Amino acid sequence: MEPHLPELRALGADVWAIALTPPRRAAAYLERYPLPLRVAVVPGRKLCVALGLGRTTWWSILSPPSIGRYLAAILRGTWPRKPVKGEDLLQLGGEVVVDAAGVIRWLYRSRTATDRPRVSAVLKAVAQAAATSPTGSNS
Amino acid sequence: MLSVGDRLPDLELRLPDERLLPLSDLRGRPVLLIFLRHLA
Repeated sequence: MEPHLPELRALGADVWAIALTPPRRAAAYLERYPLPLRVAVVPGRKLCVALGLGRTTWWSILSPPSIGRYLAAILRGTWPRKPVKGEDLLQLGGEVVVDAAGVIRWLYRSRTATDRPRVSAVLKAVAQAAATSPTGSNS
Repeated sequence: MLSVGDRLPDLELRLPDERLLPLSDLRGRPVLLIFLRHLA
């Protein structure tokens, strides 16, 4: 998503990475590897459960396609690390587009550990939310 | 379970420096929330 941040910001959207990790872990990571977007963390699973973000299984995480993606990440220089207390490696991610009024306009629940939505779908959803927002560039 | 058309609840997130971030603070402009399993 990083290459598309300028497009998202041009639409008047805020972009937040919500990390399912303890705050200290996120702070330590960001100190070493700064990200070009805002980061917040989720304490507990309450929000994930509310959004219907599921949990995967170890069998799925260790499946050949997932292992292939992890190997690709290693080749790019990102090594898997040990989990810390407060992290749930089986929790799945997702993406949510919320409009200016706080209403969910688009929701993608990852089906596997490496499943992400198409960038084009995310951009379209953000553009639609921006079009209904009084502060959006399309208003 | 929340779905499209529902209002995001007024839960609180935390910033990496441990400050609270009420979701209501994100109102006023469209927001893309990317839930990551972990940062790395």
